Order: sequence, then structure tokens, then C-alpha cells
Amino acid sequence: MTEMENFFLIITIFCGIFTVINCTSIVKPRGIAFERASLYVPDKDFSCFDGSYIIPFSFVNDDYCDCPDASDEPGTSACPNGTFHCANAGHTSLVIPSSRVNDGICDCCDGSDEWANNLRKGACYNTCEELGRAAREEAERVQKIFMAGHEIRAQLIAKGKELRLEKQNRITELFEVQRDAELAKNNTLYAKETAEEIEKSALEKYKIMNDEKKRQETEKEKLRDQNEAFEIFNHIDTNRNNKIEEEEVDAYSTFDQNNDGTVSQDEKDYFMENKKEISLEDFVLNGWSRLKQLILAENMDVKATEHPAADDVDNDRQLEEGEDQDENEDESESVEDEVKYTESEELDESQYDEETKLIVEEAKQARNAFEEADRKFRDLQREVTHLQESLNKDFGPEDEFAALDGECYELSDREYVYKLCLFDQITQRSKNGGSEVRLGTWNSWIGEPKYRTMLYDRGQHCWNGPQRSTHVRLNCGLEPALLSATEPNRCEYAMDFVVPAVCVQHNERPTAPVTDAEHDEL
Amino acid sequence: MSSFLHVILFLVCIIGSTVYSVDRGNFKTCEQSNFCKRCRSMNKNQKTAFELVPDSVLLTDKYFEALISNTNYDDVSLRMRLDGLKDSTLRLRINKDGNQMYNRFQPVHALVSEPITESMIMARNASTVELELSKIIKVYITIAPFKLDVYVNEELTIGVNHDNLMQFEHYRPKPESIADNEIGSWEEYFKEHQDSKPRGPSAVSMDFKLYSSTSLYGLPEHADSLALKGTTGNDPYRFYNLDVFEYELYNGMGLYGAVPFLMGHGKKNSVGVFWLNAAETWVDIAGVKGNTEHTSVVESIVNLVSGSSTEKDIPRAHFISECGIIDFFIMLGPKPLDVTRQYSSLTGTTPLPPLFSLAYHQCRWNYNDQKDVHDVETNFDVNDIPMDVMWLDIEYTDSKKYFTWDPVKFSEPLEMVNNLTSRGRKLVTIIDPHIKRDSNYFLHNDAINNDLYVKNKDGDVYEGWCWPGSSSYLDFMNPKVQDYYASRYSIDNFVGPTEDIFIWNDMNEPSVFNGPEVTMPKDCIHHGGYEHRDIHNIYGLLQVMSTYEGLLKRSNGKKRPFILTRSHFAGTQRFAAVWTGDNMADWSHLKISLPMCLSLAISGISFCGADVGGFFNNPDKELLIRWYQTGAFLPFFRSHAHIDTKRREPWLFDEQTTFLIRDAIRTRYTLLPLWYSLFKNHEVTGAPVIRPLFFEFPHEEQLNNIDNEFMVGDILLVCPVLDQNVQELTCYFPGHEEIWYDRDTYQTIKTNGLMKIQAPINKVPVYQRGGTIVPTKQRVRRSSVLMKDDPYTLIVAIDLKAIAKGSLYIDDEESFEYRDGHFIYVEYEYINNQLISKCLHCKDFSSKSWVEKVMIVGIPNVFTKASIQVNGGSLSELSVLYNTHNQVLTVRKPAVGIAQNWTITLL
Repeated sequence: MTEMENFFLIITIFCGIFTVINCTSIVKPRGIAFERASLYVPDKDFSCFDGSYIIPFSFVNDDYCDCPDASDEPGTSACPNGTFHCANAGHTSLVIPSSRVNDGICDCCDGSDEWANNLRKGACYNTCEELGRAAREEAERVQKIFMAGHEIRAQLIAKGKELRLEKQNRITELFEVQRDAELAKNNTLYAKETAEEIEKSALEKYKIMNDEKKRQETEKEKLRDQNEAFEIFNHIDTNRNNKIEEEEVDAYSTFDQNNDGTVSQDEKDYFMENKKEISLEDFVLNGWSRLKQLILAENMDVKATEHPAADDVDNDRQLEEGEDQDENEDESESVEDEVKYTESEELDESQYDEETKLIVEEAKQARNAFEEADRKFRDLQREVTHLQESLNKDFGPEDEFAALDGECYELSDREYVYKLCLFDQITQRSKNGGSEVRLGTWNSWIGEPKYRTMLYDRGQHCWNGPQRSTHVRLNCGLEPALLSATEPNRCEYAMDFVVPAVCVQHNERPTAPVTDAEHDEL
Repeated sequence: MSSFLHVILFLVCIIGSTVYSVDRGNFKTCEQSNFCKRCRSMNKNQKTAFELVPDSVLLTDKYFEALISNTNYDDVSLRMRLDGLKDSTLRLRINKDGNQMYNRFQPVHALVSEPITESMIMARNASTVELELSKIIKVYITIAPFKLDVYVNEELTIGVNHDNLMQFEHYRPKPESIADNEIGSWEEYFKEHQDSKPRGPSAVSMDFKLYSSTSLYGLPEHADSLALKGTTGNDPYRFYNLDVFEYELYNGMGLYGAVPFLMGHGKKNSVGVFWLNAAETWVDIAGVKGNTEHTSVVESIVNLVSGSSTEKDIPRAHFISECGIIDFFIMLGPKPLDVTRQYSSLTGTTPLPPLFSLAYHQCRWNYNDQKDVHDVETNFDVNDIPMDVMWLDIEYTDSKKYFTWDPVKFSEPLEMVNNLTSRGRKLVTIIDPHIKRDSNYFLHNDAINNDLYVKNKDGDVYEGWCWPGSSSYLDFMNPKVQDYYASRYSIDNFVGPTEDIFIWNDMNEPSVFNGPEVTMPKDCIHHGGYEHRDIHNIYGLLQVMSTYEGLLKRSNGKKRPFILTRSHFAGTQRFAAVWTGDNMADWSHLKISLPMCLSLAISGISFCGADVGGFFNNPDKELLIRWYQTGAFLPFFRSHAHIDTKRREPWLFDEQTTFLIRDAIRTRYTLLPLWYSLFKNHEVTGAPVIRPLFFEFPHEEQLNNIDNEFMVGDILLVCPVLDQNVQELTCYFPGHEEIWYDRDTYQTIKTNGLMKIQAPINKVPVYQRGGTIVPTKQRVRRSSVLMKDDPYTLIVAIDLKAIAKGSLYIDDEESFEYRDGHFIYVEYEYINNQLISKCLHCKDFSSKSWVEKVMIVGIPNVFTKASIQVNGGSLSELSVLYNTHNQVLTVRKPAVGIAQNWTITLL
């Protein structure tokens, strides 16, 4: 700092704190933008901008708030509602609340907000030149990206229009084919129904035979089970008195469910139901069914399940998410696709006579023909629906997002891999394994400016909470990329995504180089 | 008859409409707590058990001592000792005479020091002993049955054991066979938990009659009205520090803290009873007037029908504790502020907090990472909302291992703190007493290797379940643990070279997720051979004592610690601030925050607040705004939210919400000089920083049940909006010859009684009391420390005699140097159209602050200018501005240093 600058600084400080009068001839009031300096005329009384008071000009910037609108103290912290303007020559000028004047923190890069402290240790340095340069470089860089991005965007628009046309044409085309397919479907349906009618009456007698066979099998199974019960009973009843007693239970390892080497009272009670002994009859009626479960459990080779740590929320979440994972998926399809279950399939075809075999074969072919025709029709239908849905999606005012429909981008952080599929859905996959969690399904554009934030909602439910949802903020970038994923609220995610489709200049200028550099304060 | 039916229907509806509530089944009722059941079933007409042994009576110059026989057990005698203490206070202790099987625990940690005794005079006859203390106090001890009558100025004030409910169960060998009705004395089950009770019955109890009182107060912490309710037909007030999930309002269930201090207040005088016992304690209350009792539906109906009125005129309290000795203090007032002074000379006061801790705190479970912390902080500046402290809940740790940092999300703690401090801000991090059982965790290994954990009944280290999963609990009863734990906070052991991290001790009831009543089993063993049942209620106090020591040592005793604790006991005020725990985003919880903090304040713990916005659930913007407006006038001002709630930082709603919350917080900052001066006053005198109205107007009986308004010091009357959709509310204005000035409009209110007040969403009904001078700072900055050198505006509100007084205390706002005289104390008086500043202590501290403005409220428009004379020097002229609209005269820019003697004369 030169001697001269020092001198001016001292004067400025002096003026700021105490009185402006002696200095008005050489400075505009502190904290005022150059353009507004003319509102402060040193030789006249000062009128508050809101007209509330007229005060001597010496009251301007005297560190006492006279005007309710703060207009008399642009350069001090006196007015609670005031603002301070720093010129920041070399960088962008800045308006800060008056409360930041002389609070010991350098808010203006020219340090002008800390005028009373600037002679002290730890004062503010003027950093505007270097900040300004960096900002200009940054603005230039951003500008370049915008320009290049804008060109890519134009291509995207063209592609989008093309896609739209293609889809529309395809739909028209499909409508034709679909009509034929529907006709074919109806014809084969009729043939199928006729053939099945014949098949049904031909199979009637085999069905009766089959039912009888089943009944016999059930009988047999029951008998087998009883025999097994006797066998096990005798096995446990080591003293052969036709009663199972406590000591015998103690000796039988199957009752030791927790494998601690002894049959505890609880384990015993489960089986014995607090009785001292169990007779054969009682065993066959009740005890056997309980024991069977124990044997089953024994065979399952149950692994000791570890308690998840109470803080291991993610684990818990995975578990709970697994449950409702599939609830919304594939429902419509599965109902339609379900193949009609006819009697022929549960009968043994080998016993049919030749005539029946022929009838069954014909019915099968008719069914196959129908299914084929039906599938064709539904495939077409699906394609049309899909195309229509796609046409109805809002791909931006100029279809600039259309080419990105369904494109997926991943981001990997410490714990998760996030996958954003544009206009489709967002998922999160834990790196420690576990199933994918849907963070949202495409809903719509939200917020202002338009086409800058995407909402994906109706994701999987959180335990005890809402369905997951995600806001995706878009910014200009040459390559589409997912930059960040956070969860500011439980189950509400936020992502940053760059894409050339938004490389469009708004009404406001981008961060432009400073133009009022010459309006130096003093 | 039909109206009777309506009443029933109405009551049924009320009961059916409970929406959120605690699972009561997780917590014991008196009936389920065997000793409570035993002692509660005693009655006035039972066979006398305790008699003074006349030959044993002894009075030394310090105390009175005598033996008490138990007529039911010939071989057991008790020793009583009565101390006359300075400042109209008595202490009575009863313990077993001679050896006993187990030591009885005495929680002297609650006491700030050994109380100072005063000599008494004794006279006696065949049936009574008479003791006289400082002339006005007389204690008559009846020999058989043993009881005390305490007289003040010849008037019966307190009776002890007048209902014959004293109990002292001596330790005894476990009998070979136990009678059915005594099984619960030797073993008790609650849900799946067994309490093995190897030491058998050991309960103590005593009854008190507060003859001179009409209302009873205190006994925090309960989510209940300020004035205590009768407990007949319902459970007594319970003291057992518990982590109660989604606590229910308006009942006596045990909560996080226990301060067994009872205050009685009547037209003539106020008294206090302090029951010094750290074990589970239940307190039955009866005979209180003018307050709905906690009554069951059936009893309400019975009362309604019978118009019941039996012996309900004299307020009574019956204290029942599971173990320990009988040790209580009686404080004889006579005024409410005398009682709090007497109580705080026993248990201590809150040391002057560092100023930042009185400013605004921003908390959430959890700010996700250091960037999140920085973003939230930045948004406060973007939105020009002051904020002093950012808080981190449990997620900042590495897997809930306290004294560690998550290596990814909080990889640069020091940088994070330095970011905050560069704006004058601080960080508070949570440190809980449970320790993760993890062989890679140094603290756990240290605790195992040095035997620092609480043991279970079999002598092994106790294991419970808490945030980290399997955990053990440091035994703060052990002096070795106190030292070890304190040293964890040192710069070398925690974050590194910063003194700007402060501490939040939570879950210190202690909370044990899988323990009986979510806490530690009572048969666990602590250092000294005490069972957990002996010490339970001071576990949290012991932890904060250690934390306090640690923070103190961190700065070589120079800087004031700040600690927030959930669990508390009598004496906690000496170490930590307290908040009301896990409340809910509900209007009813906003409302209860007043009586909860007021009860704590009159029981020694002034530094209290509730989670602004409510911890559980999401507040709508109206509730949030009103909560900020109210919270800004409670001593501890922090917003906090559960991890499952939506973000609710002030700028996340709409412009109006941001504006109004900013306004509420800024108001707090303008009043920081007042809060700071009041806390200084509290440290010296014990006067609660916030007070019930009856404290300031003890003779006005209508105030006894008011707990939706309060006073800040003796200066501001706060009548906050606590209900939804309010445009207008009714405030009670106390005092017969008072003027109250609306803090926004300076409109005067001279009514004594109820008055309707317009209170749209931007209105916070707060009134400055006529006769007071409030020092304020009008330049609100990003954080309080940035306002340190800023000038003051004095707001002078005159009373009916056109007089006002006030004071201001200033120091370095963070160190203990004020205790060496490095502070400024100024008194102001406005009288005869002159405002006089007398700097009574100005030598050893200098301040850059000055007086920028004086506003004199309530004076007529007769002055055209003013003069100021500084330090007896020459006069200089000041301009004045009179606002006819609100009758405020503003003296422009006296520009005199704050530590000066000066006189401003209106001309």
C-alpha cells in the first residue's frame, strides 16, 4: 500500500465514523453505488428516500440510523435494514446487508466493508483482481461450454423432431397391421373354443377315473404317515411302556432345538404341553404333528441369524425394501399371459384311446394357434401404447430431450451406485449387495425455470415413511453425466445432472466480465 | 340426569381421541413398583412405628441429634440429625444407627458444598423438643409419634410426618421362607425383566404438610402443568430418569430428569422442600386447590355426583424412595425468590454461560456430512438469519463410536469447525454414555482393560443395546472413570486444536433399548458396591460432571464449557443446560414447553428449552413460526428434528415464513444483553432467569395456575401464541400498579387482569414492565460474537411514578476472567427526567461498545432537547425526537462509552 493510499484510507475512515462534512468535496458517501451517488448532495440537507425525515447532511453515514428506510447510512452498520455497496473494482460489485459492515469478516473483495478495521491486524486484502480474473476465466469457460452445448442441443432438437415423426408414422403403420392381427385373433379364438368343447366331452370319462385314483393315493399317504408316527414313537419310547415320558424327551436330540446339548424346559414344554407323559394315542393325534415341525426345522439347517446392529439402518432398509420390491411390477402382463388351465393337462395322456388322442391334439393346436395370434395382437397393441406414451411425454418445448428418452447414466459413491434412466426411473444399488431400490419413476418437470428440474416420484416406500422421490436438477454440459446424488431429507433424493439439451441462454446474462471497473470508489 | 350422561359421553370421547402417545405398558405404575405399592398403602391410622428416644437427645453448636426407635423392630434404631442452616433453611437426615448390611447411598453430588450451619437453641419437656433458629423459626419435635412442626413467626408453616407416613425399611437378612405379601420385596418382575433385589426391602418415605401454602410447584421433570395436581386415585408423580418414546402430556409419568424439589406458595409466604435421594421416587400430592386433579374417569364422575370435599384444604406431599436415607431440606422463604436463593445455595447455580450459548442453535438429526453443514450455514447467511451454533447428532461418528468421526462424511472435522468459527460460530457434537462393544474401539478396550464399566448382578460387565448395537456403560461413580472420561475431551484426544466444539450428552438416563423400562437393570453394580437402584437418577449428572471437567481442562480452566444434557438431577444446573427431550411437532407440545421449563427454572435449572418445531413429525409453517416466536423467549433456543422428518430450515417454506422466523431470531439477538445480564444475576443470586408470574406478584392469587405466560427476569412479560389459527388471544396482566408496554408498538396497558390482544401471525405478545430499563443491541449480525463491540440502545420504560431502573453486565463473553473482576457492571436509573448511568464496576475490563440511542417510553411530549454530562465534565447537547404516535422520546446518539458515568437530562 502506498503512502498516498494510506492517506486516503485514513480520511475515509475518519469520514465514515464521525462526520462527512469535511470530506464531502472529495468523496461520495461510503457504501453507495456510483450511479446513486447523485442522490447525496453534500451542501444540502438530506431527505430520507422514503420522505420521512429531512436531516442535516452531517447525519449521513454518521453511524446513527435516522431514516427508517436506512438511506442515511449506506456506509455503516447503523441501520438494521440497510445495505452496503462495494464496488470491487476488477471484479463484480456486490450489495451486502449493512450488518456485515465492520464485523471483522471480509465480505467485499476490495475490503471496503471493513473500513474501520483495515488498519488493524488481520485486515482485509484487496483480492478483487485475482478473483475477478478467475471469475472471468470461469465465465469464459462456461460460455464456451454453452456455445458448444448449444450446437449439440440443436442436433438433439433435430433428432427429437425426427424421432417424433418416426413414431407418428410407425403408429399409423401399426394401426393397419393391428387391425389384421385382431381379425386373426378372433378367428383363432373361435376355432379354439370349438375344439376345446369337443375335447372336454371326450375327456369326461378319464376325469372320473382320475379322481378315483387321487382318492386312493391320499388314503395311502395317510397310512404311511401313521406308520412313520408309530416308528418314531417307538424310537423315543425307549422303555417300551407305550408312553413318552420326560426322561425320554430329554434323551431325544431332536427336541434340543437350539443345539445347546440339553433339552430345556421350554423345549420340553413345547412338545409335552406341560404334561408328564404322552400316550401313543395322544402322540398320533397331537404330538406327532408338533414333532414333525421340529424334524423339519432340524433338516432346514437353520443358520444362526445375527442381529443387525441397531444403527445399521441401511441393512434394515434393504430388508424392508426387498419385501415391496415387486409390488408394482408386471401385474398387467401376468394376468393376461396366464395360460388357461384345461383338464387335459392333469390327466395322464398315455391312457387315452386313439380317437381321444386326436381330439386332444387338435384342441392343442387350436390353442396354440390362438395364443400365437393373441400374442401378436398384444405385442402390436403394446408397441402402439408405448409409442403413444412416448409421444405424450414432455421432451421439452423443442423435443430436445426426446433423443435421451430411456438413456441411463450411473454414478457411484462410497456406498451406492445410482442409476438415472431419463424419463423412466431412478434406482440405487448398494455396493454391499442387496436388491435394487427404486428412488422414483418419471413424473414431470417441476419448478421454475421450466425444463430444469425433473421429478421422479412413486419410488419404493420407506419403512414408516413416504414413497421415495428424487429431484434431478439439470445443467448445461457437453456430455450427459450424473454428477451428484444426495438425500437431504429421509427418502427424498436430489441429483445433479448435466446435459447439452439445457445449454440455452436465459434472458439473464451469464456471469459477465465486470464492466464498471473504472467506477472506482475514490 | 341427562347432563350427567353428557359428562360421561364427553369423557369417553376425550379418552378415545388420544392420537399419539407413549406405550404406557413399557413403564411401571406405582402398583407395579413394589416399594411404591408398599409405602403408598400406609395410612394415617396405622400403628405408630417411630418414636424419638428422649434420653438420646443432643444439641451441639452445629446440629441436633437423637435416636428414633422403631416400635415394630426392637433391635433397630435410627439416628436423626437436624441441622439449622443459614438463610432460613433446615436439614433433617435419618439413617440407621450403627452398622448396616449395606451402605445407603447419599447423592451429595447434588450439593454445591457442605451447607453452612447456624446454631440453634433447645428447650424440651416430656413430650416435645423445641428448637429455635435465627429467632423467627421454631421447630417442635414430638417424641411419640415422631413428627415435626415448623413455625415461622409463630405460624405453623410445615408439618413433617403429620400423616404418619414415615417409613424406613432397614436392611435385613433374606428370610428362609418369604410370606406371599413380601415376595415383591425380594424379587420383582416387570414384563420380561427380573429385578433380583438381593438386598431386599429398603424403602424410605416421609410426608409433608405445607400449612401456609395453597398451591404446589416444582418436582420436575414431568410433562405437566406448572401447578401440581392432586394424585389421589391416580399414580403419584414419579422420579425415575427414563428415555420415554413419544411422551404423553399432562400426567406424572417419569421423564428424563428428576429434581425432587417441591415449592409451596400461599398468600403469606412460600416454602420449599428438597428431598435428596437418587433412587426411584414417587410423590403423592393432595390438598391443592383450584386445579383439576389427575383423576380417572370414574373418579371424576364420582366427584361430580358427590361434590366431594373432604380434607383437601392443606397441601400435602408424600415422598417415597426405593432406597437411600431420609435426607431433606426445608426452605422457609418467605418470598418465592427467597426460596430459590435458599435452594440454590444448596445445589448451586448455573455459571454464566458463554454468550453464544444464549444465541440461536441449529440442530437436526442429522446434517449428513461436512458439506451439508457448510451449506446450511451458508444458507443462514444468504437469508440473513443470525445463527451461532451448528449441531451434529449421532451420525457424525464412525459407527456410533463417540470421540471418533465418520471417515468419509466428516473426514475433515477441524476444517469444518474452522469454517464455522470464521463466521464466529461454534459446533456442538453429541457424546453419549453408552460405549460400542467393539474390540477395534480404543474406548471400549480402555474400559475393559481398566475396569471402567458398570457390572451386572453377577459381577460381569453389563451389556445392553443402544445406538451402536451391543454396548456397555461407563461407571461414572468411579473417580477413575470421571478422570478418564474428562481426558477424552482434551485437544489431543478429540478433534485437534480447537476450543470451539462443545458437547451434548444425550441418552444418559441411561437409555438401554433392551433394558427394563428402557434403562439399566436395578441390580447392576456400580463402583463402591452400590446397586444401580441406589444411584439411578444421578447417572446423567455424573456424566455431565465429567464432561464439564473435561471441557474445563481442555482450555486449562480458562474458557466456560457449554454442555447440553437430557437426563438431569438437582445440581445439574452447575454443569449443563437441559432440554425437554424428544417432543413432538404438535401445538400441545409447544404449549407444554412453558410449564416444563418454568418448573425446571424454579427448581434451579434455568437454562432450559424445548426443541423448536418439535422433534417428531413435521410442523406446518404456522406451528413452526409460533414455535420460533415462543422459543426465542426461553433460555435455551435450539431447533431440532428427527431423522425421519422433512427438512425445516427457515427458508424452506415461503417468504413470509422465512421473514417471520428471521424476525423471531433477530429479536432474540437484540435482547442478548438482557439475557446475559439475567444469567449473570442468576449465577449470583439463584433467581430463575424465566419465572412464573406469581414469582413477581406473589400476592395475586389469580396467577397461581397461569402457565401459558411467563416473565423473563422481572422485566418482560411473555404471553406467546400457543394455539393454531389465532388472531386474538387473552393475556393476563399482573400487578395492581403496573404499566406494561407492548414491545413492538409501545402501546401501554394498565389493566390488571385479562385483556384481549390482537395477535396475527407476525405478532409476538411481549411486554416490557414499566419501571425497567432494557439494554439491547439493534445491529444484529451473523453471530453473536460479531456483535461484541456494537453499540447499545437503552429502552427506558417508566412506571406510574415516572421512574425506571435497569442494569447491564458485560465481559469477554467466553472466559472465566470475569471471576477475577474483569467485567463491567452498570446501573441505570431514570428519575426526575434524568437518565443516570453509574458504572459500578468498570476497572478491569474495557469495551469498545457505546450508547447509540436511548428510547424513553411512556413520557409526554414536553421535551425538545437533551443534554449529556459525562464523568462530571461539561454539558453537551443532544437532539431528541418525540413520536406522538407511540409516546416514545428518542435521544439521538449520546455516543458515550458504555463503561462511563453520565447523566442525560431532558430539557
